[in-house]
Amino acid sequence: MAKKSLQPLEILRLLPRTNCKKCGCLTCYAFAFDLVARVKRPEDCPELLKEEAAESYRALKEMIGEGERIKGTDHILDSSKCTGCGDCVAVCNRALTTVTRSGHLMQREPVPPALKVIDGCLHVIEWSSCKRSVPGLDICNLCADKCPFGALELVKQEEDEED
Amino acid sequence: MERDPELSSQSLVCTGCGCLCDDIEAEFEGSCVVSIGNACAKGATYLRSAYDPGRRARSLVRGREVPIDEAVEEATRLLSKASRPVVFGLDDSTIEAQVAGIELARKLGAVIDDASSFSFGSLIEGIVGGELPTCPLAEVRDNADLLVYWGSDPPHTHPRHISKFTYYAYTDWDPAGWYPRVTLSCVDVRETELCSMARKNFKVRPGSDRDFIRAVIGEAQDETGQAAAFLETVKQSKFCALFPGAGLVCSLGDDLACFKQMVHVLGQSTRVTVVPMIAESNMLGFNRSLHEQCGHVNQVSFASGVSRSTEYSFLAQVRNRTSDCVLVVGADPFSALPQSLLKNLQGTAVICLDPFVTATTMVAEVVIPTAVPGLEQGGSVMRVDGERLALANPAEGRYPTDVTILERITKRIA
Repeated sequence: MAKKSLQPLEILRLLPRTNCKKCGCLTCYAFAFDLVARVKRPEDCPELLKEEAAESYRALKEMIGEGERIKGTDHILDSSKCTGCGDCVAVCNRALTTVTRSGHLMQREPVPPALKVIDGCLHVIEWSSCKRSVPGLDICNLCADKCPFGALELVKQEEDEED
Repeated sequence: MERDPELSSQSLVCTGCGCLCDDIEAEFEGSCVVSIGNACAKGATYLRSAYDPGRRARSLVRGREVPIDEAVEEATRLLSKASRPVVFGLDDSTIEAQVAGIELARKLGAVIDDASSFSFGSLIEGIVGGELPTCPLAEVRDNADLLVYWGSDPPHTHPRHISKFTYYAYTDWDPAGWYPRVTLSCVDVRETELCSMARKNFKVRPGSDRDFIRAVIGEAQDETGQAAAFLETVKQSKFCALFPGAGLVCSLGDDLACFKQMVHVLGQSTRVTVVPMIAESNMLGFNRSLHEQCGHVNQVSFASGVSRSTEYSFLAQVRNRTSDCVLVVGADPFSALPQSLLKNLQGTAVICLDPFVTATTMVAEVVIPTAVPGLEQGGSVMRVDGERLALANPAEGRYPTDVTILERITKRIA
């Protein structure tokens, strides 16, 4: 089942909303965005670690899961859920061949595959082939959408992360 | 980046499950595997465990480590003196080993059976005997316009079945929706990962697959309307591929008459093919080999000529405490069978040939370690659709093959 994309507003509901800045973010809402991008972890909020916030902390951990960003990509992969079935690779290889320009589907210059299953787990082998690395095509969400286990999530990298 | 001169890559056939994916790219450093490309988690773990010394079986006689020759001697002695020996397993061995196993059983006058007798046996018998139509998966791809997984959840059991052989393997896709132009459908008792992918789901109550089938062929009342919807879906298709899994065969048991009748009825309005979702890598190979030699797929006794009976199934042999010596090849009955049955094996000599440490190797009197098919031994295997594939053996020589061991035992038995 494809993973439902995380919404910062949903996460904000579980945060203390005190804007205490102890996490290093200016506001709790900014912290929520960083949680979605996996730049921060729930543990970075000291208020969440208090006993009275245990319920919110548990709910947040469940929402965010164990996914970790594959370095230099938009892919956040929960390797404990990935079975290496290759469904994402198959749909990606198909989607790579075309681009949509002005509402028209057109053939794309041939590119090497972006994804590959290695040692039973998904790897991004050629980030430059992934449509999400191309300005204007960065809304592609197919691989994550077709993952039967919801192991994959796509979240735009922050610019400073890319560096 | 310069390539390490000691690194070599080889294409393998994965023997981790019945899919037998033949596009595995393994990279070796010497004879050790460093990475396995394209294999799913199941296959990669299986192939990698061949290099885990803690997972590999050792040559043992009553728990004492001995040279392999001594273990083979002891196995031969136990089998020679047995009056009612049983050969069980061979579902994960190569066809060559299966033939050697059948030959040994014939020479011993033993009972021979495999795990199909309590799973896919009846279905395979229908396919091998020509009662159920089947075809290669290559023919299903791009030709079948309806894929029905019945009582099986391939994302868990056969992770690459959908991406390599069926749904996502189609070349004809709807470019706007990124879906192959084929209807994916499933019949199951519960919400599975496949249900979320499938366009049409048919839910049956646990254990009521027979009622559903009878409703499809018009022999029973269709209370929920699901059977009528299923029939309509199949009738609208031109080529329907059925993938029956363990859920269906366990629900129907040995009596598959209604399923065969349903395939026959559906076959009158559309082309239907049946490809079983077998978990073992070469169960079909064993059943076909046995069928070629004696006309039966399992539960055979060579005690007086060739005879087949349900009392020759491994379960019946254990339940009735019939056998006095069991040769288990590449199977793990001590993990699969209930404890209440296993206690019947007390006092029975168990000889086990297996590449890995299993619950059976832990209790067996004699353990003989063997090579992993597709990695340490070549040979041929049969995929679930009946396609015969040749195995590579990039790391040959570390362990004896089960063919060699079985042939050695056969030769030494008077």
